[in-house]
Amino acid sequence: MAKAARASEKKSGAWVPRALQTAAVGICTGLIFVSAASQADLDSARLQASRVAAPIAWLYQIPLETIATIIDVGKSYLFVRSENVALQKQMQELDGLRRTVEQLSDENAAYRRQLAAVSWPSQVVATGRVLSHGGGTYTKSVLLAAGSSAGIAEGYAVVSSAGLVGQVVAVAPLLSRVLLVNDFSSRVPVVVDSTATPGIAEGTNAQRLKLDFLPIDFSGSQGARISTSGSGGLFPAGLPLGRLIVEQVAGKSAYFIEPFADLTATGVLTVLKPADAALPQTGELPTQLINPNLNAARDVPNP
Amino acid sequence: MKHLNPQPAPLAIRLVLPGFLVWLVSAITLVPTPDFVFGRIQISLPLIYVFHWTLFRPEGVHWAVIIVLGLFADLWNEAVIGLTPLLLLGFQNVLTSVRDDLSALDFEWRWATFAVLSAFYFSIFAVVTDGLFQIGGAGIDLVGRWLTCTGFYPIAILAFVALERRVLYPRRKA
Repeated sequence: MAKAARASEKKSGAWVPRALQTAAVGICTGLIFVSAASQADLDSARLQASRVAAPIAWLYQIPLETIATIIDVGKSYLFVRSENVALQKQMQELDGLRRTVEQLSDENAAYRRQLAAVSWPSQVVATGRVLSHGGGTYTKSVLLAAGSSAGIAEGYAVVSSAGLVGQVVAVAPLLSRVLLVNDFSSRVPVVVDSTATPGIAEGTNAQRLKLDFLPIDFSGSQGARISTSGSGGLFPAGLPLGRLIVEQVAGKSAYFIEPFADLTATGVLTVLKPADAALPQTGELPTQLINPNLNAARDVPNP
Repeated sequence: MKHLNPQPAPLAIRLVLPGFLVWLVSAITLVPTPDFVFGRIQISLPLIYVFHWTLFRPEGVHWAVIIVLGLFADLWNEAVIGLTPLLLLGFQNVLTSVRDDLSALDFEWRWATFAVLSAFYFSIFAVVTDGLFQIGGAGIDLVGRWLTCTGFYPIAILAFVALERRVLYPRRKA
């Protein structure tokens, strides 16, 4: 009976869609294992899938941004008085700070002249708008509307006006995917500015990062500024990353970083060359030092 | 000339159009979230689509459409590629076996059943993903997705029914 049914199915050709379905299920199962083994192998597929939907994402973005603007305007009218008082207070504080900054800036310029400091070459490659937030549950990444045609390559650091945001991990001609610093697989060599203690900032898939690989005797102070150390040459040194958070976990101090940059926000991001790529090549070394006296001293022949 | 008894739309349109619209709406997960939204906008619309269509128009939901929708969801959400289509196909098979009982229920009971079944779906998703990647915290995000999906169910059903009645299976007005 079953044999007859199979023969009839074979004759009618009904086995073709069934075989195709089985093959598709097999392919999906295979993809699960490939995906589990190496996420990087499927990066270009993810980028292409995001590219297909990029125009649609743009369409959604317009009304969402309009609603967000309306809400912001409404909020600012509601709290206009309290915000005004806060802003006036802030302005007074900033006025005092401005004088200090001006004084320090002059001092810094004088020191740089005396020490004949060579300015670090510009590392900016391109600035692009965030097109979409690609990740979510498992990966924290954004799609940037600038790609290899703008000179962007894999590994380049990405910053916002507040600080380090992430690193380029996949590039297409007009798009690039940026792995955010809070992604589970992100590792950034950092330094605690106040103590010059090196460490590694690890992503946790949550808003804040974990600060690890610290010296055993490290005791950081709450709110200390953390910036990139430049170790390894991937991220330029001195990019602000966030503030240190110290918590007691099971009687021990655990260190976290609250990033300066809002990693969920929209807006524009700037791509920077890695530290090594930004260094002047041998033929490009500056011939003129900033301090003219030192230039003159350099030109005196050695007796 | 008006047809007194309008014919359903051609099979190709009945198969492709709902899936395409679901794909189009699902792309909202790619949009950067504005400040007023807490977290990402994550509507697991393919799940509602498979649930509704399998119960009421099983001939209109094709495995190929489910696989394409699932693959795009995985690629956009950067999840384990291939997991969503497999789970959606499994979900469809389970629903097919209890189709007669579920389709006879009132809307509220169907909604409750959807909530339970989707909770199972997201639990399996979390278990498989955590097992493969050992990513802590993914489960919390999936609870959010489950809540959004269940909350969005009535709106999605309204849209699906409107699509069915107006475009795919037009009805003669009395």
